[in-house]
Formats: sequence, C-alpha cells, structure tokens
Amino acid sequence: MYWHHLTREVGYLFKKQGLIALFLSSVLYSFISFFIIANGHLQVTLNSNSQKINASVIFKQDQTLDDVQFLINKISNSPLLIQSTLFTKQEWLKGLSSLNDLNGNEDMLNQLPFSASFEVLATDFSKAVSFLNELSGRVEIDDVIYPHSTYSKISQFAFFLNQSSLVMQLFLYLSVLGLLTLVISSTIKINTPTIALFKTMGAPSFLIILPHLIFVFIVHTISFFVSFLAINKFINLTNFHLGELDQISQFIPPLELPSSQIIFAAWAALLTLIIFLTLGLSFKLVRNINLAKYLFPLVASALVFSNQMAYANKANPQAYPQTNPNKTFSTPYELELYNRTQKIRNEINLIKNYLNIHKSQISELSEQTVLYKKSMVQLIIKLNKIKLELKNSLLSDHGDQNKHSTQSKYHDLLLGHLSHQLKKVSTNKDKINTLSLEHDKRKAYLLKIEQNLSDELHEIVKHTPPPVTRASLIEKLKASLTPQEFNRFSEQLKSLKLHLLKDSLSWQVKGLPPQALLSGHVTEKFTHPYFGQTLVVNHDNNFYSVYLGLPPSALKISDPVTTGMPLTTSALDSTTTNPSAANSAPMSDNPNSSSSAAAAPPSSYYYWVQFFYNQRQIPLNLLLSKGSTNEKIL
Amino acid sequence: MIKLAHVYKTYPGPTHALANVTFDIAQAELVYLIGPSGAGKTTLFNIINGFDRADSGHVEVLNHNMSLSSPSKLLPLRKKIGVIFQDFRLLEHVNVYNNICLPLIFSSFSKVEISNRVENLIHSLKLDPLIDKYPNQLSGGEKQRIAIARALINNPALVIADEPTGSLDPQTSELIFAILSSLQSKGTTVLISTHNLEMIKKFPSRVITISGGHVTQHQKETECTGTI
Repeated sequence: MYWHHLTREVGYLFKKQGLIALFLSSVLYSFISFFIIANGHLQVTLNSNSQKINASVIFKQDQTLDDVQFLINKISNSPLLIQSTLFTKQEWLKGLSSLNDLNGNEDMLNQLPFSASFEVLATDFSKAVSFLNELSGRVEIDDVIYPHSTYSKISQFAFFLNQSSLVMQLFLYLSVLGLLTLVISSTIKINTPTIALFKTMGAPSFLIILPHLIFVFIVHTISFFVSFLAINKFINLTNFHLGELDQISQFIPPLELPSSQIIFAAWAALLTLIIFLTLGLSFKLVRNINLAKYLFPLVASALVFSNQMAYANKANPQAYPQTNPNKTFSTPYELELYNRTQKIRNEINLIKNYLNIHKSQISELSEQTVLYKKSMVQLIIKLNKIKLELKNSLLSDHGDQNKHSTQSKYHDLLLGHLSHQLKKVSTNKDKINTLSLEHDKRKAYLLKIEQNLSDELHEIVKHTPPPVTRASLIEKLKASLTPQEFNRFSEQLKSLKLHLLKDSLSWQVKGLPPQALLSGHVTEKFTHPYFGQTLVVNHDNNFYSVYLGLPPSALKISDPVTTGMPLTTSALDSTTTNPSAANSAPMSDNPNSSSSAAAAPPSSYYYWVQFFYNQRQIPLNLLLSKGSTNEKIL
Repeated sequence: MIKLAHVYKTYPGPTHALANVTFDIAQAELVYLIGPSGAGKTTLFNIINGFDRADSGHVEVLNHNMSLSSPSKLLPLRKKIGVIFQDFRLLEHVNVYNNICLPLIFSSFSKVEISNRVENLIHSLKLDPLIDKYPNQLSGGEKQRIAIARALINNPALVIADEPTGSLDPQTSELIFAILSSLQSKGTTVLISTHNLEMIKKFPSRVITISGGHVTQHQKETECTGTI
C-alpha cells in the first residue's frame, strides 16, 4: 500500500517544491557543466607538449581560382612546415599550381577528387593557429585535431588552470557539496501530511525518506542532463571563448556525447538509483532524516566528481591518445603510424561518401531520364494522332480551315515540347556520363588510396622490428661475421653466463689478458664511475663491444684493434688490483659465476664485455648509469 | 506512565513555549489538557510524542527518557502510542480497512493477524458498515471513529488525542469521548487536549490547565468549572 502511495508523495513534493528545486538544481548543474566542459576543453588543449596541428582542408564546390592562388601563396610563403598525408609540401604546391594554370577553367576545381589534409608544424603554437585562421576564410577547415599543443604559450590563466587542476577540482567539489546540501536540505524539510502521519505511527525512516530521495533524484537527473546539454549547446552555438583561449576556440572540436558517454551516464544513473535504494532500505544506515540529508549530497557530489574525472580522462590525450580512446601506443613511432593510417582511412571514407553521393545523383538523373522518355512516348503518340487527324482532314475537302489551323498549331507546340524534352534527355545523358566519368575517376583514386594504405600498412608491418631475443641476436651475428670470428665469439657464449640487455649480450670475463673480441677500431674511451676503465670498439656491421673494468690501456680513440689483440698496456698491468673488480659483483646475478669460468686461466681479475647489435647509437648513458638493473637473465 | 519535571521549551521569540512544566500521569489514567490557543498544548504533545525535544527538564514517557532517546529508539516507542488528530489525517486514496491497518503494516504483522485485529476492532467500535468505504464517503464523526480505530489497532499503552472533537457536532463528540474514556477501563492511558468543557463534565477526570506555557492548575474532575 505504501508503494502505491509513493507516487502520490513524490507528486506532492513536485507540486510543492518541484519548480524551485528544478531551478536551483539547473543553476547548480549549469555551473558544474560549464566547468566540466570548460575543463574538458582545457584538458584537450593543455595536456600536450608539441606544436603540431593536424587540419583537414576541404575544397568547396564554389572554390575559386583566387582561393587556390591564395592557398598556394600562403603555403609557399609560410615558414611553417606543412606536410600532407599523402603528398609532400612540394607535391601539394605543384598540384595546386597546375590547377592555377588552367586559365580560368574553374570547373576543373570541382574535379579535385579529395579533401586534402595536411599537418602544420610550427615552433610556436600560436603561429600555427594564426596560419589556420588565415586559411579559414578561403577554404573550409575541418576536423582540426590538436594532438599536441603547448599550454605555456597560451596564457597565464591556462597555465594556472593546468597547474592547479587539483585546486580547481577541489573547489568545484566543495562548491557542489555546499550547493547540493542547500538544495537538498531545503527539499527534505517538506513534511507532507502523510509523512507526518507515518511518523506518528513509527514508520521506518526509509519510508519517510524515500519520496524525498526519489524526488531529489528525478529533479537532479533532469537538471543535470538538461543543463549539461544546454551549456554544451551554448558553448558550441555561441563559439564561447574560454578565457584567453580565444584564438584557438574556433578550432576546438564540438563536444559530443559519444555512446560511451551515454553508457557512462546511464551507468551513473543506475548506480545512483542503487545507492539511493540501498540508503533507503538499509534501516541501520539511515536512521534519521538528518543522516540522509548529509549522505545524499555526498553521494551526488561523488557522482558529479567521478563524471568530471571521466571527462578529464577522456580529454587527456596521454591516457587516450588521438581519436581512438581504446588504443594505446608504446612508442611515438607507433602513434605516428597510427595517425597517418587513420588520416588515410578518413580520406577513404570521405571519397566513399562522394562516391555514394555520385551514385545517388546518377540514379536520380536516370529516373528523370526514364520519366522524360515516357513523356516523350506519350507526346509522340499524341503527335501521331494529330498527324493522322490532320492528314484525314486534309484529304477530305470538307475540312474546316480553322480546325486545320488549330491542329497545326497544336502540332507545332507538341513538336516544340518534344524537342525540349529531347534536349533535356540529352542534357541528362551528358550529366550521367560526366558523373559516371567522375565516379569512375574517384573510384580509381579510391582504389589507389586503398592500395597506398595497404602498402603503407605493409611497410608498417615490415618495419616493425621483431622482438630481440638471444637467438635472433646470435643469428644476426652469425650472418655478419666470418665463421672464424663467429666461432671465437661462440666459444665465449658457450662457457659464460649471458645477459640480454635490450639488444645486447653481456658477460663477465675472468682471465688474462683482456683481448679484443673482434677486429675494429676504438670509438670511445672513458672511465666508468662504477666499473673503471671502459673501451668501446666498433666492429662495423652495426656491432660494438664494450669492455668495462679494464686496467689502464694505451689505446686511443680511433686506434685499430685486431681479433685477439690485448687491450691493456701490458699483461703485467692487468694483474694489478682493479679497484672496481670487487664492485662488479652486483652485476653478476650468479655468485658462482667464477666457477662457470673454471676453464679460463686462474686470475683474480674480472672485466665485463657487452656486445651490441644496434642500428642506433650505443646507449652510453645506459652504460654510464651505475649498475644496470633492468637486465634480463637468459 | 508520563513524567514531566521542570520542562522548558523556547522557540525563537521573546516568550517560552513551555516554562517549568511539571506533572505526572499514571497508567490507565484519563487526563484532559485544556488551555487557550497558543498556550503550549501542541508543543507539549510534540515533546511527549518525541517529535520535539525539551530545552531542559526531564521527560519520561512509557519509561523512556525522551531527552536521551535517539530517533531510532523512538520508533518502537511510537508504536506504543496512538495519536488522534483534530483533522483525522486519513489517507484519502485507500479504504477504511487499509487506513486502520496502516500501523500494523509498519509493525510488520502478518496479513492474517492484521485481518483478525482489524475485524475485531471494527466490530467492537461498530464500524462494520464502513469497512469498504473511502474517507470522502464518510461523515466527520465516522472519520474520527476510524482515526480512533487506527490509533487503537496497535493496542497502545498511551493514546494522545489533540482536539479530537474540535470539528464535530455535540452528539458525535459525546460518542467520541465515550469511546476514549472507555479505554481507561482497559488499562490505556489517555491524554486529551480539548476545549470542550461540556464533555469533560460528562466524562469527568483529571484536568491539567496550561496557559502561556505554564501549568496553572491541576484539577480533579469535580473541580472543573468555568470556560476556556
């Protein structure tokens, strides 16, 4: 019976305080929404660290040669580096110039088969923005993406927001808490006659609180979504400038509610409902109205706060780089490849859309042609009929001259009409042919892009380095060395404990004297703070060996070394106590490693060799760091 | 049963709603609380019910110290107190049966037990013909009888009636007072706030007069004279 009564109670509360509650909540949530959206925009703009802007330029149907000329001038004179997805800056300019040389054949502009996109790279973010600003008057700039931008250049205000986002969020949180407490406490004080009656009968607290909770839940849900959408719309419609972000605000993509956000909202609403029901039903938890009065705003604030955090995460390009929130990248190279692929995909989609539009145009024109043809057939039939009548009347001398004249005029009219229809059919045929040609052309271009994409993807796969393993490293070594050299190398591999450190092999050597592993020349010589004397020998073919903890050596940088050549000044030198020898123990994961080298000449001297196969430079900084810890024991 | 000692209550304003109110009410006693409007009767009722707290003094109801009881402890206490209002406060959208059984629903009685109790009470109060009717189909007297039935359905130890006959005619008022005074014989303590001295004369009992927040008189039924 109570549940039956519940709707009436909620209705009573709406009647009593619905309007004021909705108003207050809407104001409150508008405030919150504004900050959520503003903060989201700022996060998009601020959480970045380079000066690259991706912009897609779409050539409009009414593009003039002036616009093209303007674009050529702008791009050729701009000190900014502009890179197209598919073409270089030179190719871009060449393409545009050839259009310009068409001498007024503006129809050709419509032949541009694609919406070009390019990247603007600038050392100063504001320059890139102003460049786009200048272009925006002449060409339609769409889908501007700010994968990375600088916050420090924008303004002190933005900088403050970025640096003090925690303060902002805390401020927001406290504001929400305060305002919600006000709204809820003003609402929950309403004592309906029924609730007053229930209280006298000792009804459980949750029965008394529940109508209020439902009322407040409905009010706040409505207010939240209405104000959120309204503020979002307001910002997008009015192109509202957020502080000093004026100059880039026009490129800020409109904030949309993607399906994931709707799912999130639905989830939040469900969660809220569950929390309210739990609060209501848990008699032990909610013992009186006062407790609920304070619990409710806490829960609501937490929801709002979590929503804001969700937005912050959504807007954080580090957590969700680029446009794909589910994709994460381990290296900038992968990110760049991904972006390029995405851009090509976007272009393909655009062309596919064009193709669809063409198809529909062709189909429409074909339908029109069929109609014209039908109409022509009817006209011909009429014409024939009139001809026949005319002929009959001419044959009979009794024909009425007026009737002849009228029919003759009608005949001429029909002929004119017929001719007009024929012209239309002919025009339509031309249009269909043109569209078909264009359609084919774009289709071919699409195929070309698809092929490019496929090739590029192939390239990506081809250039993705395979994971470095001991076996792959040894295999590469074997392929690059002579059998003699490799055998010497592999002898050490057999007897020594190996470590795989990124793309290198390292091992500890016990014996005299330290000898060059392979022939080459010295490229680095320095004193390692931990190991002591260090030599780096370049063996060409991308192989390097690094000898750490050597006794003093007379070798200098660029001195040649041969296979097996002693690296130290003399054998006697090598017997001297190496100050770092004892310290080399931490590098060894196996304290019994000396026993593994039992075959080597007895000596108290140890040194370390690292053997690199590397297309890049030897990571000397890695070597210089005391005691590498991220090594992987094979 | 009810003990009040030096009870003070002040609302924002210059005067005390209650000042140094002290009285005791024994079990199975019928007590009338009389006094002009604004004298502090409703405040006193709210304090006894636990809807309001005294600023100072001692309030004990059914062996519960109301000043110390938490809201959760007051819930079972309220189930032992039947409250009758001048405006009946019946739920308009449910019938008489459901109005009466409402306190039993809150006390988690089984449907069978609720049915037995309601039927017995309805029969004893001669409300059988009204059982399926809705409040808007009832007269004022009938509504008050239903409200009394609702207050009694839990077999309360204490019944508090705030102006139970304020909007009723003399004949109906007499019937209501007869029902309430009969509770005394069943061991129920009854506290009635009223202006109806005629009824007090007809159903004589102890009278507490309150005025300006002060208890001015404790009178036995035979001493009750004059007007309010």
